[in-house]
Amino acid sequence: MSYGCVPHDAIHTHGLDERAATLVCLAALVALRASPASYRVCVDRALAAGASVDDVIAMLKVVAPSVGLARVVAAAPGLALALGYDIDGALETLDMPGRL
Amino acid sequence: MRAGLECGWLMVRPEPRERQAVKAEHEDLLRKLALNEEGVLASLLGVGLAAAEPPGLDDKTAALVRLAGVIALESAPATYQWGVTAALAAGASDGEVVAVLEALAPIVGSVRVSSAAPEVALAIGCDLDLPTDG
Amino acid sequence: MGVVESPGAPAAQSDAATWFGPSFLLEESKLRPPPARPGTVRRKALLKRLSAAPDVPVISIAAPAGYGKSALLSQWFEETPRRVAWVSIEAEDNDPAVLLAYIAAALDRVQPIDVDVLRTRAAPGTSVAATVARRVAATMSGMDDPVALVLDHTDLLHNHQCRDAIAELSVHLPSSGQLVVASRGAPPLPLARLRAGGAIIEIGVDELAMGEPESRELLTGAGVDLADAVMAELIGHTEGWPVGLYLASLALKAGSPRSAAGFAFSGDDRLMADYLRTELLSRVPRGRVSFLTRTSVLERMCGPLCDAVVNGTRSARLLEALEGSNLLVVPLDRRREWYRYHKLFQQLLRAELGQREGEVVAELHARAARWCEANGLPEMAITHAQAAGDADQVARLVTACAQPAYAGGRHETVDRWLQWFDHEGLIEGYPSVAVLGAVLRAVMGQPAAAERWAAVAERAPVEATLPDGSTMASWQAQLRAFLCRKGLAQMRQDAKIAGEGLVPGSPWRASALAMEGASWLLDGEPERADPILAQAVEVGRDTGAAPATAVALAERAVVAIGRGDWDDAEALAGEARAILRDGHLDDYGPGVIVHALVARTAAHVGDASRARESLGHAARLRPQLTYAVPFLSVQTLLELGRAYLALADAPGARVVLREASAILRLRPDLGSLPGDVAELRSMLDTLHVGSVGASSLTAAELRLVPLLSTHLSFREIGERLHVSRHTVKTQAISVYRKLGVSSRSEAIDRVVDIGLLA
Repeated sequence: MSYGCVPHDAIHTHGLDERAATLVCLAALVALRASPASYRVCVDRALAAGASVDDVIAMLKVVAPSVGLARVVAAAPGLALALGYDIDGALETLDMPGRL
Repeated sequence: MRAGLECGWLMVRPEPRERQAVKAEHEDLLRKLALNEEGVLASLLGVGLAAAEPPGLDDKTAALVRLAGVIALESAPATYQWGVTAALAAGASDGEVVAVLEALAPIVGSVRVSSAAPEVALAIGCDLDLPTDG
Repeated sequence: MGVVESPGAPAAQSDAATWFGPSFLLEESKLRPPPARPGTVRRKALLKRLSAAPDVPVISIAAPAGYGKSALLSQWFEETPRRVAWVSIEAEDNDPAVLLAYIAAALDRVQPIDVDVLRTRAAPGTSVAATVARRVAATMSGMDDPVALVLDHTDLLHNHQCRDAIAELSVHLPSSGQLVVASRGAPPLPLARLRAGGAIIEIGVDELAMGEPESRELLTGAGVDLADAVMAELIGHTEGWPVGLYLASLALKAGSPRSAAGFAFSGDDRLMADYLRTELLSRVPRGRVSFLTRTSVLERMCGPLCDAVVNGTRSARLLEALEGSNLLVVPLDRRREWYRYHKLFQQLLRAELGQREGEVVAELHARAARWCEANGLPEMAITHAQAAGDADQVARLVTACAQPAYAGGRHETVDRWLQWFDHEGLIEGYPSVAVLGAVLRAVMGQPAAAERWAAVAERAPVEATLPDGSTMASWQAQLRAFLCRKGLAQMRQDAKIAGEGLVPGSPWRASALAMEGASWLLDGEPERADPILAQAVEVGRDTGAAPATAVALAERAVVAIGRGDWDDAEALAGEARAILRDGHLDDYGPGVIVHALVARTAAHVGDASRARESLGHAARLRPQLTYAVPFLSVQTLLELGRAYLALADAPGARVVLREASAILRLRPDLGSLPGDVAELRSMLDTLHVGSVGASSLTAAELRLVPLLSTHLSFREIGERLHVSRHTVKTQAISVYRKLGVSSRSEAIDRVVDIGLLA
């Protein structure tokens, strides 16, 4: 069972609004090479707090130079899945070829 | 999650919700990142991955150094592939690639090296194909 | 017994008939449905369905035997205004080259086409599905009128390549082109995918079972007049199974007193067999029963062949009578010379034969084998001889047929013939098969099998003679030269012995001379090599040994480059290339060295695009370069490395040199090659590393590329390559990265662009 690492209410966000707090936590997941399950929970929380998918992608771009190539590449599949995009499947499937 | 438990924050299981559509450009970005594609990584990181001019190290040594970083950092398989392929393309032999693993062992620890070894082997083994009868 | 004209030798032969040389007979009868027979029920509703759906790309007709699949398609073939190309699949089609020949011939019947475009000659183990599908689809789309391709009896196809090719074709059809596949069980089609796209109509048991009106029509047409109630009961019992109804009608006509209750079978073979025995065969004169059961061992029958099998004299007349009196004997041509049994009927008769006199089956096959061999049908004889367990005869026939079949490009067929000896554990007893098989396996890129067979071949007595007249010693030497296990000097020795001992007309003499010449070249004595290589070229031309000729020319080009004569080298390489092209050997493994030399000479004059094109072509074939013929493989990889170097492509050069080193680890004693490889590698160090691109694809990844270009899932690809799904995924990711793409569809486009897909 996976647990969210996000605050339950405003008191625990320590002055950050919830949206910012969840994005910060996501960045931590990237840096710490978290499991896909952790991403799922955190992304759900972020989206619930009003973050958009654009925001999540922006978070990745912001944190990339700090955490480096290895972390960013390792984070991509789990993060994508949490956003609802199955990279594994996408790499395997062919678009149905239409008639020539 | 470790961090969560340490912080002592309340454990929550959020409700599943309607997902926003992921735009095609985001899909492309994430997919290419998962492949360790140099183009998007370079633009994301703001630096060239393999510097345009030789950085004072010859190409092979530079590639082996990058590979050491990959090994030390618990990277994804795609990153291992990238690192090993680049080293081989720069002229490293299989032996030299393995030597990097050995050289790192005292520094990063045996646990790190043993989990890295299969990934490195896979990346080399993919390249080394002794043809068998089908 | 005179020689009977072989089945389906027509007056005008299509080009595809000549693809495999004179030893192969293109059966014209396979390109048409069996002639229509009077008394068969017209399946009006189904015919309407078939004609009303020209926009649906795929039609699948799948039902067990006896449901009238072929009959339905025959009727459709006759009456539809649509152009239809027809192929009746048989066992020999389990070789992609053969299947493709029939498809080409079938399309050619509809409208004359350039059949050579469809010719492919891939080594065993390389996937041709994507290539075949694309070429067939392109041919179909280029025809004036939209055409439907019918493949009947596809359940007889068990070769993976062929099944994959059909599946791939089904998703690549041009607009208004159609593929119609009839099979007993599951068709070789990606059903889920086609259903999801609304791209398939499936006609199964429910549709093919006859309703009451049609059943009545069948029974009436068969001359049976029953009271309504009885007829209704009969129809109910057989559940509309057409062949069941038909057999019942035969029994009734023969005077069966049983009520309809006896016809309680529908698709149950065992009950069917009982019924056959008790109701039909029991009323047939014993001699005729014997004829029926004994000839059931034959896939195709003609009068004289049946005579031989049953030791009779009037089979031709009997066959004619049988064909005239019922539908279970099917004529294969309009001249009424060759026939076969309806497959279900044949099955039942075989079972009956097994029951009655199982001990004679082998003898019957032996008689058939002897007749076929005596009447110019050696390949048919092989099948019967195998069934008869007559290994001596199989060995004799295979030794005679394997070389021409291989030269014609039917690799899978040759592989199957050779494998029979493996399965039966018989190689030990047949040194001539062992030595021929070892040589063929070596040049087909199957090193482990080549070694295993070579071990047996070495133990053969050297005084023996092979069917072509050459000495066993010369063949053993030829084999040793190819395998080159003891170094270059020994290879030279062996090549000389082979050259001297092989009969003058043998197509292998040119190879022996080429190897002798190459051994001098690789020992640093090009001036001694060149005249021998020139002789190899001449002998190769005289004996029609195109591959060896091309390789010898390529070696001469290497010599020319060595003395700085690039013009000469370019001319020689061009000549070699032309030989490959004219001989349709473009996908032939050992010929890769030609592409390497074309690339080198092109790069030298600054023609980078032609160089790249040749290197792309070579890349397709690199997986076939194994340690089975080590000197040629390493030399080829070295020349490829030099070509990449000339294009300043260090990563590409390094990949081929790594593959060369892998082979050198197994065969280190190869003259100057190890040193040359090391020297080239150190020259690369002076080059700045470019980006890792398509030229860095390894042999393993190149083996994956043709399969990535199909619709197969990673798991299915893993099954084809005998690796795990995880490995396939990992290799695929590496391929995408090197191609600079991020999806499978992009990868396919790119692969086609750079010429990595045939």
